[in-house]
Amino acid sequence: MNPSLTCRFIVVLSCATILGSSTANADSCADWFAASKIKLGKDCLVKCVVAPVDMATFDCHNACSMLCSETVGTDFIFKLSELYPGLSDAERALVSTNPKAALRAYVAKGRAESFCAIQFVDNRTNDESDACRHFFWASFLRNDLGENLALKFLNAHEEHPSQPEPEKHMDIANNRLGLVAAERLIKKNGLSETALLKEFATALTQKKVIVLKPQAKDWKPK
Amino acid sequence: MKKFALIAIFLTTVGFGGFAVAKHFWRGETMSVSRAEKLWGREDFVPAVFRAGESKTRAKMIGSLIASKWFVGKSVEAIRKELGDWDGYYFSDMFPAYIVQDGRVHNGETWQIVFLLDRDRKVSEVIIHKN
Repeated sequence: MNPSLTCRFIVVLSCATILGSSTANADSCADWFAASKIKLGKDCLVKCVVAPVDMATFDCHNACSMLCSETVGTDFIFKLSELYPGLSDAERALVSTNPKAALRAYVAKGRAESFCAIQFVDNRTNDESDACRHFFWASFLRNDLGENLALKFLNAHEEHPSQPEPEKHMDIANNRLGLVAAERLIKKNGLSETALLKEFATALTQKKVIVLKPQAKDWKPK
Repeated sequence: MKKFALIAIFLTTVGFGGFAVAKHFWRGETMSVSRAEKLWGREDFVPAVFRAGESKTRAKMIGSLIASKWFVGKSVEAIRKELGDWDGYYFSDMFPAYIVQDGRVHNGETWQIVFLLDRDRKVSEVIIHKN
């Protein structure tokens, strides 16, 4: 056989295989999306990226922006957000559909981390400093974005499949405390970091704050 | 031609400078393996010992853990299975981080090892980071 013909044959066969597999994959993702009964519209992308997948549809989450008929801009941010470390798929979806709010959520995260870093010797996981970060992030988000969007960002952050259930419950419980505290203070027109810290300290003393691994028994607010 | 070369050199310098600043900002303060070994000593990395050990025991194993690239390419789940739940914190709850020097007994200087992850959530690098 002519070597150039052999090469051409291999190239054509490879292209056909790639095209065939991607079409088959697109079809299976379209079927998976239809079966999930997710409606097109506002929350489509957020719901799509957390919909259960199996061995045949495991990469369909990546096709969610296309399946949800999102705009080019949303699709671009969704794909770009893959480069940002540590985001869950639900967070990526939320970021791409609410980019401005995501920026404020990011700033609020930084504020909460800095604030709690002053309160505790170090930043740890599952201890009081962890509870503090979640409490303050939730409070700041409630103040900056309103209850609904704040809750969406907080819940999306907990959508990591590898996170152990007890840790997830701890984070969600402390988020809720932060939201409730902020809500109360907003109603009284008295929301401030100092007021929030007082709320956090009281809740910690009353053991309302969930801490899986207590480290700071004699902690006092600074 | 000379002008183009100068512009290219300038852009390259600015590019590398910007990258270095961004990388430092992203990572915070880090420590080299050689300095860590000078400070804390060097012992072979044994996952079970690391898992059960205090920060002092863990600190001695950092050099061999990093040099052996034991965890590079492994998933977050694999790290948790071998080393247990992490107690440190780096940037997000999702990065495995283990305390190797406790700030409460070291003048507030807490150090941890952090497993940096790639796009597939597999370990790309392990760094020694000031908490």
